[in-house]
Amino acid sequence: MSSDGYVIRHTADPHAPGSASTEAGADVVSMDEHAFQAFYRAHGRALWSYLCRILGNPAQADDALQEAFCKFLVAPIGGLGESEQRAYLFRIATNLVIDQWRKRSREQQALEQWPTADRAEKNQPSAASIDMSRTFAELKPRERALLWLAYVEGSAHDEIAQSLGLKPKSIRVLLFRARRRLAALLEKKGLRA
Amino acid sequence: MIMQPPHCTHDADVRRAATSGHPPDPAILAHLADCADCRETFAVAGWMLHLSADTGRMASERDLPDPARIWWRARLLQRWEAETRATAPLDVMQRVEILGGFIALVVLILTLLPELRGFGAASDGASWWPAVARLLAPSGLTTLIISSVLLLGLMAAVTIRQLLVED
Repeated sequence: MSSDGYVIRHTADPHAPGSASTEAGADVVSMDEHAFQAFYRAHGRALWSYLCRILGNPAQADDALQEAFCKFLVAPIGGLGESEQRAYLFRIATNLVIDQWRKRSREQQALEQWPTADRAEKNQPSAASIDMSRTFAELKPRERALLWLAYVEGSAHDEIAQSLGLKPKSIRVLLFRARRRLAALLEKKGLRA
Repeated sequence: MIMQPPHCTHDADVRRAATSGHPPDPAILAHLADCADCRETFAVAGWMLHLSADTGRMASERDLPDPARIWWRARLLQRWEAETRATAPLDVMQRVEILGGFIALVVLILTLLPELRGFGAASDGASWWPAVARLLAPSGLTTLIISSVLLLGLMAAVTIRQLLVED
């Protein structure tokens, strides 16, 4: 049971072969189009924010967002409440990001691309925003994910462990190290209050 | 040696104070003055709050991908997966059929080996004729015909099944 009281009933790995499929012969996605649009409106921007900060690139966040929602729709999520569905969606998204990390290191790429990859944005980011983005991008991808899930999403340690495929016992130490690293970066850049 | 994280009982209160958006109350401020770990937590949690707000602003200004398109893409993906599942046994059978054909060919060659040796032993074109005659003799010819019919039958069965599946 997670800290906010609900039981995560669906524990199958969303990335396991065949896991993003319904029963054989079924030809319907997990929710109808109207329900999906409402769910997307409720959680799309939060997921995009997470992906944008973890991947360090808005364009990649767009792609990952579509992929995550697509996998979510074909996943067997029947019977899950909305908060569980949201947790499951974030887990799918995290698995996608982990796959990308495995393919190639994005740390340097993120540093190089931010904010130049965002030139086409309607509103250019402010200097403070760029500073924050660059500082956060200096952390390792896993550190970014840990800090975002803990401090922005407010996820409990066991939920973070599940999302990142780590042991729950190791989260406290890893989170402490990530926090220490970010604090040192903030100190170095004079951003610490 | 693994550095163990310090644990302060005020951690949750400090985090709450940092993310509330209001100045911390005097008790928390007094604790922050004494506890370096909580000062760090307070600074990081407050900074993450700013980062979250900044990212939220970016997200609100951005045109996210069209949900209708994602929904249809998911449907197509699911149909494609259903098709892949349905045709998976056929894919396996195709490999089995290729293997079966190869085995049949080997059996055919082994059966006809004595006759084929005659070709190899022949030094000129004229001396091939006895080997050809042996090959076409009733016993050799029967083997050849039976093997050919078996192969043709196998191919016909595969073709008919493929047609039935496609229908």
